[in-house]
Amino acid sequence: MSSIKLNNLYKDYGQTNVIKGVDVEINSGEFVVIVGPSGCGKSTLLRMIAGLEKITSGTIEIDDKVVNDIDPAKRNVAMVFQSYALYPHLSIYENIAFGLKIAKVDKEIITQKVLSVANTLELVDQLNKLPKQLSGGQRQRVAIARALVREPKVFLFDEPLSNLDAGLRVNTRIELAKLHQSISATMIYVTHDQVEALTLAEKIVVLNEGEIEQFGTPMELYFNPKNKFIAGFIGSPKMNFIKASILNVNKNDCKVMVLDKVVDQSFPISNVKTNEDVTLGIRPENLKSVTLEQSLCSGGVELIESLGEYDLIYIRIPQHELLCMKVEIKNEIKMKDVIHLGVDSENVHIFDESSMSKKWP
Amino acid sequence: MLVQLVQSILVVVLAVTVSVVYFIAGNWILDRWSAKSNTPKAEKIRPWIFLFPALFLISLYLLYPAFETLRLSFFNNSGREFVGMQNYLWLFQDEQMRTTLRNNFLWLIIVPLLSTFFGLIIATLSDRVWWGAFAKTLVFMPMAISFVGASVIWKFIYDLRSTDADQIGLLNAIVVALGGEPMAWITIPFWNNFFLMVVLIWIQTGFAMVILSAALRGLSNEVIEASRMDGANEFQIFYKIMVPQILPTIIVVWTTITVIVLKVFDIVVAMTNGQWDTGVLANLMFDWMFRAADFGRGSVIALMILLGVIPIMYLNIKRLKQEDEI
Repeated sequence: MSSIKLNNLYKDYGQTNVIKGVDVEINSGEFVVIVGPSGCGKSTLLRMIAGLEKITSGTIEIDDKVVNDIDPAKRNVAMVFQSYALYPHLSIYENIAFGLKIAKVDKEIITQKVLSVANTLELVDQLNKLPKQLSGGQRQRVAIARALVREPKVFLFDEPLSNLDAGLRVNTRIELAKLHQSISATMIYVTHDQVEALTLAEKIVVLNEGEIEQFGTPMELYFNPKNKFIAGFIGSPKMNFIKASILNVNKNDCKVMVLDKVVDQSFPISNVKTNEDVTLGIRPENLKSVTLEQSLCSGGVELIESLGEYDLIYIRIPQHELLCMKVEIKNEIKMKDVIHLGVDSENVHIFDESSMSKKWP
Repeated sequence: MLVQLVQSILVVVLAVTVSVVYFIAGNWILDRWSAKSNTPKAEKIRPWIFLFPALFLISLYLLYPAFETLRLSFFNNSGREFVGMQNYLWLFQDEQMRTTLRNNFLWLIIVPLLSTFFGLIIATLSDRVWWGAFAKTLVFMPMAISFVGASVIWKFIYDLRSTDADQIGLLNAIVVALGGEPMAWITIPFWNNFFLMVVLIWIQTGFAMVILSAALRGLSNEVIEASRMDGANEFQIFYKIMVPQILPTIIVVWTTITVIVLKVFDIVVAMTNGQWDTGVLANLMFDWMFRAADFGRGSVIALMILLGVIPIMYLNIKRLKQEDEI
């Protein structure tokens, strides 16, 4: 268990800035997920913590000690790679024992530790096999075992589930969550999959183009996104964005216009000006079918996805991407129906059109 | 000149025509025969029709000479009189033969070992410096030089001039500059073998480097990083992680160079012509077969070389089969 502190961290590859001033404080024992679109620098950030990438400027502290110039192995961190990175020429036992052997740990203690870890991860029957003889899920468990056996203070995971099939991914996700509960080590987990982020994390770092967009608990990010990027990134299916302009402001009550239609609904916001352009963000589960008079906008149904538990209705409105509405399965919506879309005022997020930052709530 | 040109063109045309006619006619006859008798026999014969020319030529140029060599080894120098095991007895009693066998043994151990070793080291290190590609080009360059050409270059390096003249040989020039006495390096028995081996090592290191460099590039970077996270230092990463993974390639390089070493001939001829105890088997075979015109003894030595290649070939073929299975 240890705390990690990243102070004003920068990473440049020649002229390209990959990480641009990242500040994060991770408490001891926390499970933090770094999530972001591909190319946002999340893997680089993780590799910097591991010590595999040099730091351009800024500091990384583990347990209040700057580790910038400390060897990866001496940072007391262990990493699980996306490709598992098992040693192909060594047996599973040797794979797990490698780090301990390098550290010249007593042979009997190695055997004891390897067996205990193999037991936890159900690998006892595989110990004499080579990595190529194992399935993807088993290899992943070996990679975790290899990290676990060293009893590190910090675990780093670099997209560990992305090479697994969907079913196995869910199982392994649950295993990882259980693992964290049982050993309560600090874990940093990189993924591009926001579902993994929401389900595993105690805290999420959303990274975009080398900068932190928001750092908070999953629910904070979901219900109170700082800006339009977070709002669109967290949640699946993603949040709908509808362009609107402010019609008039009257204390804590203002009216908006969507697609040249005045919306007969008032929103309790005050920090806007008349004629200002804004974006309304509405989650699919908050969109609903209403009468024309109460609606924000209207459009034809272009696609219906039935997922058993609920239906996703995709609606085309002019000048926008397809809007998605989540409805109960017992509905009478058919393809090409015209739907009048409405929302309760408290379920609307309002973003500034130019800066994308949130204006309300 | 013109006559020769026309002749060779005619031969090429004729050879191609004969082959085409052979295959078409063979196929046609089989088709008619199988249509008539309606048996699967024709289909069993068909592959052999296509294989026959190749098998015939291999037999003529490879198998027949091999057996002829075996036969000749039991005959006297003219190849007419049967002498039993006499040539073999000579082989194991001859003093020069013993030196030659020792030399060959040294070549077989040292050249593949050092070529592969240097190739591996250069392949590993050149990936870590910005001028690595340039260094690799330099190391690979000798591969393009013929053995005789390389020998001439190295003869200059080992060259000895009379003491009053300037030493143009690089080695002697260095020795003199360091205050030593110039020496005729390639005439010092036993050690001169190593000076000759340097030529082949110089050539083969480039080959080993190119193949091993490609193998090293194929290794997963994440695996190496994983071992670094596990605390392995650069040496441990090299011999515990990288080398074991490219071991099959190392063996291929090793055996390939071993086969080349068994056939080494030009270097010895060009450098010392087998004098000062530097002879090797191929060299000795050539001497007996063509200089002394003793077919019996020449054949015995040829068989020794063949015997030396067999285990290496066996290993190589076994490996190839294993790879096919994977």
